[in-house]
Order: sequence, then structure tokens, then C-alpha cells
Amino acid sequence: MTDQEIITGILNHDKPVIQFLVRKYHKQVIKTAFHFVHDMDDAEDLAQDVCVEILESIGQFKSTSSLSTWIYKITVNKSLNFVRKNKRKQLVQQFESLFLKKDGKSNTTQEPLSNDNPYENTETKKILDTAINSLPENQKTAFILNKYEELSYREITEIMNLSLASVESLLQRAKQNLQKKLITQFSEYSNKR
Amino acid sequence: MTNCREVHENLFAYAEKKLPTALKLQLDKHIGECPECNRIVAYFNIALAQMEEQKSIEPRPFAETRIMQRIEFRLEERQKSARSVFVRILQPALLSAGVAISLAIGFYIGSDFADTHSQLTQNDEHIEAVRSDLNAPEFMTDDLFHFTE
Repeated sequence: MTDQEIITGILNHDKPVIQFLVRKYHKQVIKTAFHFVHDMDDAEDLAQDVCVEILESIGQFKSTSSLSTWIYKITVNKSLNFVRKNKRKQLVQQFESLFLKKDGKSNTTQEPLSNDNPYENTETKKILDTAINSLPENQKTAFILNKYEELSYREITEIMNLSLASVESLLQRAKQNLQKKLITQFSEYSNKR
Repeated sequence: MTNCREVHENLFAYAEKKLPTALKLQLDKHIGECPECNRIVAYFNIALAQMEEQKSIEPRPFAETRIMQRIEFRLEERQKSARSVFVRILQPALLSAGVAISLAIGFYIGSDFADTHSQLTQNDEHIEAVRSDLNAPEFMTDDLFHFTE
């Protein structure tokens, strides 16, 4: 089925076409979202949101890029929004816990790392995720799309609406920053042990 | 002489085996001699291996089904909201029209009643006029009526 056939089908609320779209793209969406949020539940929720968004705004899709690129764009935007909201929530929680601690009402301790999630079971993985999360949004997006999704520079330029040179520079800076952060984190970690 | 800083600056390229051979050999030598750089490179390699692993993560079973359910739910909701437009706008409009029609019917019937009432009043006035013409006292009305029968 071509992109155009999929678009027409979605516009007509054709259920088999919608099913085809979900089957074809759900893995791509869940995986991309997971690399941003590092949690499979959240990634799946985001994938649901992305699919609904595709159905609702398919009319705005311009055939200048492929459907896959457009879906990547939506996924990246939704994931970045989610991470931003989560950061704000964490800040509020930290702020609240600071006050609670001051009042002596709380004895909250940091949650231990859960071993339920097979993707989140080592300290190194945690350090790596934290380092990637702390990158500026543009660098993080370029890095995830290139390293995890193995997209070409050309595809990344389309998803991020940037020039080839900008993407190259972003990736270069992302690697340098990540290198620095990982070295600091690994040094601290190895000193602790 | 290679130092720790050079290793740190080229860590990604070293781990991804993208360094020129001469530089790689120099770094290899330093890493072999420096325990700190050795540890960092080891951790870095673990991190890169984990990144590789994460490339092949798979969604959980039935993720596709759950997404389809959410979409169907959303489509149903959209239909419901279209229906709710009917409920929110058309239903009150129809109700108001119904009330207006009822009122109109009420007025129509009311005005008919008013006509009948005015006719009766006119009849009373007529009877009163006849009675006064006849100079008949008011109490004779009933007798007159009987007489007519």
C-alpha cells in the first residue's frame, strides 16, 4: 500500500487501512519514544497518542516528505513534550520533598532501581540514559535518531527541519558532550566502588 | 606522549574504531598502562554495547491491539461528540420551537374563548335590552324561560 493510499484510507476512516498503518508503524513509534522516555509503559502511551494524532491531522500532511518521516516528526515532538512535562513534575516533587523534609514529616528515600524492567537493569545503563537525557533537546534528538534509529543524516534533516551541516554539527557536539558526561559519571561511579 | 586527556577526547571514535591507526596504537598503549583510562574505556564499551542492545528492543505483546483499541475508542468518542452537537444545539432548538408552538395554540384557543365570552356578554346585553323594553322585572327571567319552553 502506498503512502497516498494510506492517507486516502485514513481520511475515509477506512478501518483496515488504519489497522495497516498501525501494524506498519507502531514498532517505529514505540522504539523512538522509548529512547526518549526510557520506560515502556510511557512509550506505549505515547505511541497511542501519536497514532491518534496521525488520524486527526492527516489532512495537514504534505507529500514533500515520506509518511514515515512525518510520523517520526510527530513522535519526536510528543516525546520531547512528555520529557519536558516530566521534568517539571520532577522539579515540583523535589521542591515539595525539600519542604517536607524540612518539616520532618517525610522520610522519603530514593526509590531503588526496579529490576522488573528488562531494559533498565544496570547502573551503566542508568548512567548512559541520564547522560543522554541531559543533552540539549536538539542534540539529543539528532543523537537518538542517528544512533538508535540508524537514520541517515538526510532523513534527520527532514525530521528536524535543519540543514545537513547543522545536523552534522549537532551530532558532533552531542558526542562530545556525551563523552564528557559519561567520563565524569564513570569516574564517580568507579571511585564509589 | 599520549595522556589521559587525549583518550577522553577521542573516546567515541576509539570505541567505534574510527581513529587513524597511528593514533589508535598510541591510545592502546596508554590505555594498557593507565588503570583509570582502562576503567573508563571498559565502562564506555559497556555503554555502547547497551546502546546496541537497545536498538533491537521490541514492543510488548499486543501493543498493536492496545493502540487499535484506543483508536477505536477515540473514533467512537468523535461520533459521540458529533451526536452531542445534536443534543447541545438541535435538541434545545426543537424544544423551544415546541414550546412556541404550544403557546401559539394556547393563544389561538384562548382568543376563541374570548370571542365566545364576548358573544355571551353581547347576548346578555341583548336580553337585558329586551327585558327593559318589556319593562319586565328581573325575577321574571326564569318564568319567561319556562314560558318559552
